[in-house]
Amino acid sequence: MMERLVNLLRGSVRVKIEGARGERFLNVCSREGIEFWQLERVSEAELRVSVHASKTARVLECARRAGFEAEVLKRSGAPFAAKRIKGRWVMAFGLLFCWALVWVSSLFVWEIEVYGSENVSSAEIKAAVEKAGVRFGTFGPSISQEDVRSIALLELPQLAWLTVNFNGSRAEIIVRERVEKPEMLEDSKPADIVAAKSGIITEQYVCRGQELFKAGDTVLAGEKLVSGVQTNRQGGQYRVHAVAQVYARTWYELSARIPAVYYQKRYTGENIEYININFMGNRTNLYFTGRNPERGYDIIYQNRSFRLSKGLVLPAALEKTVCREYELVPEQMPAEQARALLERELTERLKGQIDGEIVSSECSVIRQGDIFTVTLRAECLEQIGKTAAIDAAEGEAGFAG
Amino acid sequence: MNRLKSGDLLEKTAARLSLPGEILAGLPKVEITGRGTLTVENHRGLLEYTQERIEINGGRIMITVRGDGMNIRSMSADALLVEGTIISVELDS
Repeated sequence: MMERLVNLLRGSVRVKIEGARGERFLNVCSREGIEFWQLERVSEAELRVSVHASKTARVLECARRAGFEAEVLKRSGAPFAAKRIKGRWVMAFGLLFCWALVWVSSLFVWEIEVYGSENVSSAEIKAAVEKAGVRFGTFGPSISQEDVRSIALLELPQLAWLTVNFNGSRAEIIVRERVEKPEMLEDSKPADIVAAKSGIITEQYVCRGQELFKAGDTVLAGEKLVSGVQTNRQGGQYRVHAVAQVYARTWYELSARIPAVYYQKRYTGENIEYININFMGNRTNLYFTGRNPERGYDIIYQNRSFRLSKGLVLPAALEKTVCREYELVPEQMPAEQARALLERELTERLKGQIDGEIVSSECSVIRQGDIFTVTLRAECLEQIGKTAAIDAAEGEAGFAG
Repeated sequence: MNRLKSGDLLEKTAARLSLPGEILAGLPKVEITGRGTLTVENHRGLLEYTQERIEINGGRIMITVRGDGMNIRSMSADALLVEGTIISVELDS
């Protein structure tokens, strides 16, 4: 890297050498102390080397003395660029000015991106950091990481960690959300296992406690399945915190309704387009076409920011807004479509209710007037045991833990 | 003949005194890094150069480097840097 930079500043020349036994030319160069690089053997009789611009005359002279033909192929680097712009000072000044403008612009925040959030929306995070001073157009070096972190984390208690990285004019807000403390099993109090739902027991795994049912028995919701009161060999009773998993077949019936007539969007073909230029937050309309919409319309918004590189965003963006006009047309929904639509929704709802799997299901659809009623009946296999604290009044046995 | 003897003497003296041979006796110093880079110090010039074979004059020793896609990255009066896939290095007196 440094070598390339030095070569760029000093200027380099690519030279073509033609003649037999090109090694002689290389030996002459090394004896004369002429440094060369990027040696390329094009053919038996042709070599190409790069040398510093200041050594051009000596290289040509060495080649001539050694009986080679030499030709300069390309000149590159700062000295040659300076010669090219000599007499074009306005252009040079303009380039320098543009470069300075871009450099100064890169010190300000023109784009804010949020990474790492799942449950907290980017808009909430952006609003929180905006209160801490990170907003469109903020001077980057003036932002204190500590202040942003303190203020934003106080605003959003759902976040556990937050940092702001500046990549040119882009502020990258990286967050980690707080992980909710899991519900801990309080093992110090005596408890029973009761049925959370009605069903037929298929199997049960009792780690602690006295089981009261066996596989094949029918239980009702709320019934005690495993007792936390146990009897010892001497006939005495003691209380424990029952731990068990009880699996049972359960049945569900879920219903949902949907109108038989629905409204479908039909685009009229009338589009309205706005093109705006957004410079440092100030929006200027450049172009407008079409008439004002009379019915409903969809808005499609496209934003193209100008950037020189990934981290170097300019404070200007081209915004295009397209409004597509539509009208609502009543349509009859076929029964099959209603059934498919609601069956999927009811199945998802059922999955959220059970602690197990759906073994079998059937779905029926009934039309009453303009309403479809879809009913899902399902048999499930799930864990129905849940922990319930033993009443203080129940038994007087000691607690064994 | 005298010159050869003088070279031998310097080489032996360097070995006895634990001095670097390349400084006292002007011997070539060949350094290989992996299979891709070879550096020769104290060379006396190139005798042959192709991408498969490079012959380097090391004074009393002839160094032949065989390889594939070899290039001379840089060369000065003292040192020479070869890059490419180096297969073998032969030394002939």
